[in-house]
Amino acid sequence: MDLIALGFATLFDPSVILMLILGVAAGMVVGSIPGINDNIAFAVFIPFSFAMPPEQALALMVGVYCAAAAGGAIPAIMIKVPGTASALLTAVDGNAMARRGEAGKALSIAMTSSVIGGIASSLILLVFAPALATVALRFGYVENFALAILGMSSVVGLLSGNVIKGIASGLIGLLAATVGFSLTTGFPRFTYDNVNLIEGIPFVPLLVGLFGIAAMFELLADIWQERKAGRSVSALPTIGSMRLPRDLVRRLLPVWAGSATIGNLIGMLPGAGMLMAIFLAYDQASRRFHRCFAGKPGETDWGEGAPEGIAAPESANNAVTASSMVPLLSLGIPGNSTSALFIGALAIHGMVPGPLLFTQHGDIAWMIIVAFLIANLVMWPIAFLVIKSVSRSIFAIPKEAMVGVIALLCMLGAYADGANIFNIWVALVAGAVAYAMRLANIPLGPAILGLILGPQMESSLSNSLSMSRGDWLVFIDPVNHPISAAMIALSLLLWLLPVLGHWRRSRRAGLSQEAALPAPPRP
Amino acid sequence: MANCDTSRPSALARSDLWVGAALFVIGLYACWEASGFDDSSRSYPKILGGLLAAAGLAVALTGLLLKADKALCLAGPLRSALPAAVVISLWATALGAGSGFVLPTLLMQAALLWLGGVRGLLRIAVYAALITAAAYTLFALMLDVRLPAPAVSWLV
Amino acid sequence: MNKLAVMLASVLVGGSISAAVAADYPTKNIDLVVPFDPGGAVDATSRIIAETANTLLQGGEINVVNKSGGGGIVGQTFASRAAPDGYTLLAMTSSVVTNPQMKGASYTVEDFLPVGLYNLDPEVIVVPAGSPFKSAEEFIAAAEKEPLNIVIAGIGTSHHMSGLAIERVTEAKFNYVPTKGFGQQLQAVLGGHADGAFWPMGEASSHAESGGVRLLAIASDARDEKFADVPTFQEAGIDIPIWATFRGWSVPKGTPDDVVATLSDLLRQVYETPAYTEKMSEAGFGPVYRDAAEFRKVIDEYAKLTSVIIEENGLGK
Repeated sequence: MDLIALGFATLFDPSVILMLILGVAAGMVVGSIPGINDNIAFAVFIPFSFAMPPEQALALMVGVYCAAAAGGAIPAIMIKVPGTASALLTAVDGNAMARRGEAGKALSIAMTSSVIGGIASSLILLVFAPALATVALRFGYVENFALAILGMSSVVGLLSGNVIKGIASGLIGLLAATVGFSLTTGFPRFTYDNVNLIEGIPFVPLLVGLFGIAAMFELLADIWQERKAGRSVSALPTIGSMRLPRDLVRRLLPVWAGSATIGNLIGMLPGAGMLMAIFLAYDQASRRFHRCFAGKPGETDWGEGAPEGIAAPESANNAVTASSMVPLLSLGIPGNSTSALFIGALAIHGMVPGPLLFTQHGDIAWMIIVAFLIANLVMWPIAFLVIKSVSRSIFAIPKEAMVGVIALLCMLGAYADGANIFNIWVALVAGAVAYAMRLANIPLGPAILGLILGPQMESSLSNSLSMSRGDWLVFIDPVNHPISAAMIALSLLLWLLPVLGHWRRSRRAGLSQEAALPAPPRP
Repeated sequence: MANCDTSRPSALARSDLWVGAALFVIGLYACWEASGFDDSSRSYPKILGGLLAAAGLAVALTGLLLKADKALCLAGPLRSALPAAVVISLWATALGAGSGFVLPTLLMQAALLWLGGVRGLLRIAVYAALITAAAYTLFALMLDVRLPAPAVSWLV
Repeated sequence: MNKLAVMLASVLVGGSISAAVAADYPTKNIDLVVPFDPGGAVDATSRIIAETANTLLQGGEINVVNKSGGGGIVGQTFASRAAPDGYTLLAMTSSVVTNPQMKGASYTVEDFLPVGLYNLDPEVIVVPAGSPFKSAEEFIAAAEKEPLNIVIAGIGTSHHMSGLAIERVTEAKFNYVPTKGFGQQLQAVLGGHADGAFWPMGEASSHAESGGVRLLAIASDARDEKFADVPTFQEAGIDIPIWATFRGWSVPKGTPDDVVATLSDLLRQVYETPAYTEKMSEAGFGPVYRDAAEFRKVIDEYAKLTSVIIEENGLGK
């Protein structure tokens, strides 16, 4: 308790708390600019932070980290261009809702969900960090492979349309992830003698291209379509009222609880990543929506502006932020690529994350922890301020001019990661491929998960097999690897549930849906 | 893609046939390329490539058997997205060739604005200048990013 | 009169002619190219050095410039092609030696002139805290019976080669488990999923101090002050005197000698600043200083050691 008080004392130094608030505001803006994300922001900020006192630098980074995950939803909702990868799914229902004239409501759901997810995970970080950190240690190569399988299975919920195309998309992602020197022998795979590809396709530019540039192409084609039809180009949606009706809050409560739980669990596991949490939460929310609301009068279809489609990914992604710090601060193992950047920020101030951080720099360690809580608390008012001021003026820019702005921001954001012109080409090609996939009705989600989980999947598979001397049964060994066995079983379940549900429904056509599926109580 | 003209009969009406074929070719290529890798780096990408080819085949077959319900409409993409991609490529080439940041960016913005439907020379010029200045301020001045170096010192 | 004055002056100023020449260098800012992302070991040490160096340097400042990609090759190639005027420095690491041979980089080590070395990071044998191996001898003996699963950063890294070097001088056999990223390696070792790891001391030290892992031996000619009970490789019966990755400065080939001397001198002055050594040690990097000639020896030694191993194991490209 004393230590937590020490953390608060360090944080509530006026200059430090100011930095935190500044960080939240900056993160909100960074997140809401397509092409710039928290990774790029940190890459350019870490050198700056060298000249700052560590507590100020880290408070600012915590603010940026929390708010960027939420801010990405703003352009996702307004122009269907996710500001960050974490808003990929938010763009679907969020933008549909905005086009119905309820942009304010969509933004409000997104921000409230983010804050709720964030607070849940910062409380977990504050109270349970050391106890939960050891969970990460139960994950060896075998478990990490099972985790990657579970992650790939989390897209099942998205494959409502064409299952084969979804699988093909996942395979494309996994294949693209094999580019670079093979981990087992160092053989250059698909590198075409280009040194820029040795460590794989540069990741930040790749994401910028898949989200930003692809969305830019789509925006351009939309405008062309509208002009050709002889209509004036439709204006961007106006933000309007941001009030959340009480019954909507009550309806979303279970979604928030479920998504925050998923986000917290996934966040703590190194190598899982934010997107996996988002997909799992989205999948759960979609099942719930179809069970409880689909087809009811006054309800839209899933993907056409369902509030759950915004609430689930947004609360899940912010639940990942603080929980990804659990293994980092306690053990020195980063939960995801962004929290790994905190290692760098600590390193240039001569600190190493891990148990020693708490004994040698307890003030900083606890400051970081309480900063997550405060950052999420101040995020709510700041989000509304930013939306009402900055976003409102940004989205007053005519849609026609927005195209060039997005293109330039994305390209320079990609370039800034390593100051390498090759990155611009990566972003352009990735954008073109993603756009082509969209034209061909191939979902992008599985490909992105494949890209993220691919390297871990292959290396943990080959390492598990090399350590077990080629025994494939280790993954389902309930005695020595119960966690792995459980995750493989869960993955199977995720694949089989829709099939089973469909089969049962068609057999017992007369019965109601509730009877056919193990339904939880209606809210 | 909301208002695609689907009334005209075209080969692209069976879009899934072509999509599947493309996936099949990509999968096969990956397989073929992977066969040249060393023993322990080979099997994983080879399996993925094989599966992708199989998935492509399945997509193509369903596209052939089922009456395609959604036509692939390429007019919009070809007339707007493709030129934009060309403009960006030219811009990246210019940056790489050492022509500085400002000039190529102004031209790229002007081209994208025109593609986006902004008309009027003055308006395009003003918009392009504003966007270029804002991007330069944000990246070069605020974020301290080293923009691609020009070949001659008097360029920015 | 003029001639006399110059002669007199040079006699009076004595040996510091290089200082007089260096008065016109630097006249502008110097780029220190770090071929890795911000926040890594090379970046962190470079920034600590630049901070102190800028308090000593007149006429310009050292700017750290990150040019990452391709395992360092992108930035290293950039530096090798830069103008040899002393305004582009490379934060040179051991990978400069092996990248041309192993990853097909277009430069060679000879394209760089060593300026000075500021950090040597010796390899350590690490086991989980709960490991049955209490000493390096037990560890090697077990590896002679049955291959041990050893976590390394990747095939062909200096850590992998240190293992191959141990296999050369002992009967031990290792099953290498390449694991990208230090965080994941830490997860595997702390969780006891592997038998051990070969890590650089800089990264291992804080986790050894906190008790999560145990150090069995250090590949250095002397024991580490912080871990006085950890034997050197040779003391533990592994006949490898030193296996260390190095970090230093180099400039493109063709840079004038006096500029190299000025920079080398600057690095020495940085090393003699107490605030600098304190900050380096705190961050886990033992500060040292070797001048240009000494640094060249270290590089040549490393190149000789690794080229044998690369050839014997067919790691080259």
